[in-house]
Amino acid sequence: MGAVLRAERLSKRFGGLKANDDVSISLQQGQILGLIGPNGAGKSTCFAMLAGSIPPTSGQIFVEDREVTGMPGFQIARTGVVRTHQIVRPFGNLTLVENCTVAAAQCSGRADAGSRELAREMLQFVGLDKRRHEYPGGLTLAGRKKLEMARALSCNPRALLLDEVIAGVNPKEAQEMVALIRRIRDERKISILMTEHVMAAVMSLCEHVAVLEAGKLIASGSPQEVVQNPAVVEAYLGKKHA
Amino acid sequence: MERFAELVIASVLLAGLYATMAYGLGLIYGVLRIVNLNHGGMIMAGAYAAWWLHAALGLDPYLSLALVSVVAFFVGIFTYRLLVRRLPRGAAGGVQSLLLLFGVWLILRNAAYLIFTGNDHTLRTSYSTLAVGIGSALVSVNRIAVFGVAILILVFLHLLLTRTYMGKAIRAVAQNPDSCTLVGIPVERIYGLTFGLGTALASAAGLLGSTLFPFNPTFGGAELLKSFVVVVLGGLGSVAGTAIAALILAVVEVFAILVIPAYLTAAVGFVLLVVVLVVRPGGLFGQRVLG
Amino acid sequence: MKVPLPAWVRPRAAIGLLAACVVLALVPLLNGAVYWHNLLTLTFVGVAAALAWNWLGGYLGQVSFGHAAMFGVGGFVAAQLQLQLRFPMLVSWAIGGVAAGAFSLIWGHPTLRLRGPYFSIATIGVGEATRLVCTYWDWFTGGSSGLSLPMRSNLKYELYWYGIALAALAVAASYALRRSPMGLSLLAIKSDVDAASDVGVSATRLQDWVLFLSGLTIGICGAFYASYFSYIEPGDMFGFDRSISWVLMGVIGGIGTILGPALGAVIFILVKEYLIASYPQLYLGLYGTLLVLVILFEPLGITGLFLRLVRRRRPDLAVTGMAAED
Repeated sequence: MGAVLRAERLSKRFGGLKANDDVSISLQQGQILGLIGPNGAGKSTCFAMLAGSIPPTSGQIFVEDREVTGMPGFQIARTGVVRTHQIVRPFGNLTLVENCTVAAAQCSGRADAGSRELAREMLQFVGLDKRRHEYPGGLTLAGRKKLEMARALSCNPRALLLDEVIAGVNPKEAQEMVALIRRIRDERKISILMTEHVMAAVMSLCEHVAVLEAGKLIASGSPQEVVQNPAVVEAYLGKKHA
Repeated sequence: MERFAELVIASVLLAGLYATMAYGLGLIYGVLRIVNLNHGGMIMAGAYAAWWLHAALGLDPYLSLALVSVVAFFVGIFTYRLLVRRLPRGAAGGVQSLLLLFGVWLILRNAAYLIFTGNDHTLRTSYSTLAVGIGSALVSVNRIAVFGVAILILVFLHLLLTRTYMGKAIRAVAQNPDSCTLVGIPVERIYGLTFGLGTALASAAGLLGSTLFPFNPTFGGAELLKSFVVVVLGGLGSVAGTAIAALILAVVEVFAILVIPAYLTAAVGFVLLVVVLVVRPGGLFGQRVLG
Repeated sequence: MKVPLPAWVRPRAAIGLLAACVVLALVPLLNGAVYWHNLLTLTFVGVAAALAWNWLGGYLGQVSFGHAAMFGVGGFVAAQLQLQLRFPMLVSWAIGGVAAGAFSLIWGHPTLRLRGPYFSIATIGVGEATRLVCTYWDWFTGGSSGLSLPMRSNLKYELYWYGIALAALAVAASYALRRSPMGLSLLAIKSDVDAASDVGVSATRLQDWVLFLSGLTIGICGAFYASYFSYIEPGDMFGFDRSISWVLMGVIGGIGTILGPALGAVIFILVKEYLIASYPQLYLGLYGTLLVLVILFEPLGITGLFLRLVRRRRPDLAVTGMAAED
């Protein structure tokens, strides 16, 4: 089918609250997919389930036709689906290259010189190679976000899950991020699923957009289609503007 | 049947002491997010203070309760200001403050050993051996008095935390210290006061305990663990939750005597602690202790 | 002579360890004083135990106040094997160690999910519960009377060299656990266990490994101790004070460093020896004070002071993980 990552009828309950209800999403090979929705729509929950951080209450997740529902996070990473974090979480006691080496070694299962080379390559890709022996504490927020991406890339993933990477950096850095994301897909042939609040980034990067609201998928299509969808407008702006 | 009634009464009376003991630990954790490993040390200090005041000045422990608590309160504030305040708050400081307070406990233990020797001490008053009949059971007057005082303390705490400004400030800081700063609540001061309050409670519990059990410098270790069981079981923040959890622990301990030898009953508390932490870290009412 | 060493081993370190072993092995031939001979033997055990504690407490950041539980299990299993089944000493040590390692997995595997202070509190519970239950099981420990092992003349003297081997193995393992690729994963787990899982680190499996190795080594130390004294009793073997001593050695020596706890052990044992003569009960208070000072001013203890002297910053030795901040 060409779907790198596929979620079918995902639901998640937290006690009495249904955070996600029957959500089906499909990330195609080579695609950049945007997952958007107003605050409280359930994007983070959906994202966390896709990344294996939390198990779904019901539904199934497939990585290239192989079912991975309920697999622990580290195994999902090893099957090729790796996430970044909204609030960056670098390993503060490791240098940049060590941060990436750990990922490379653990995801490939081989702890040899090849891992270190891959780590350096990924740091070069994001432009942090010169600082590879420094510690994350010395980087700016944008730098740490890039480190997270390099670390995730060191896992040699098929699909990269980006959790609000653009938010929080200044416009110039945001543009760099957008370019970097595009390069990841174009040059390394990695499919990308990104949740994002910064609409400009979504519009320019994503070929396909899925919109969540109150836990349900309310729209799915190209960015242009979705933006004109009355249900989507209502979700973001309220009934009056639909 | 008589035996059963006796055990039930014993459980209830013991629960009062455990609730008071645990509340101090829970208060400090709830507000400062710090595990006060010197809790046991202050319990021991309270016991020795009561003993010394009785031996040297003839003061009945129930009369010296106020004095001991107040002194302990200031010792707590002092400990906070001098030591605890220097550590980072939150996850990064967790193990460090644990070790720091553990060090203080060791110092206190050693001081007690030097001053009082390692031998067991008991606090015997003129009424220590008195007992009254409740129904068909014979109950020590001391235990009833301890229970009564414990209830008074818990009621006082409840009123303090719900009716006074300081109490509300403490609860606010427990929920969200940053917002408190924004509305002008002196958060650092509240931290100090809370630490003092928790310390005072520990020492008060130690004083009460000294009237019931023999003690030596290692006293307080088992009590620390039992307090932790109560805090984890009962969650944080509600006197009611603490009381119920204390009752559960007391019941389990007291009734365990039916099946295992007396000195092993302490192990019951320890095992219960580990099991509760692993199985139900949120307690029956309360907050997460994971992550 | 070409010895195949893994890429992450620095030849200087290997040579240094070997040289130290040779020197220590030859010392008794030059200076025959029995007092120092015995003291050194006990120091070797202390070093091994402190290092083993550090793998869990320092490398993984999970501070255990109950490690005496494994020390006791190892000691009593080994003792019983020698007493009841006449097993040879070294075999008993090995089995005792494995038993201790297995025991640590039983309580530790579910408990390691807890973070920070909660794990530590749980270990106090484990240590004390083990002590009480094992004292009660007098078929295992002989109750409060303990167990006496058959004394072989000269064993105490020979244990010196066994001690060197034990300590050397512990040092080598410390080095390996830190400098090998696995060491990086351990550091990542210590820094942020969830983020580590997100990049493919199997945190549970690695933690279990470290737990087992730590328990195994401490168990063997317990077995060694039993053979050395020919008499063990549960109150001493499982004692809280014993568990505390490793915490103190580790933290004051340098928690999370490769050799820091070994240094802490040497100092601890020497100071205790000195104080026992003149001020027997002062050492706990002294160490409590040191602990407070270390936590407040130099989290890496003596090793930290040394690093300051040679002006080397080591962010990888951060005592706790970096909190996500901005």
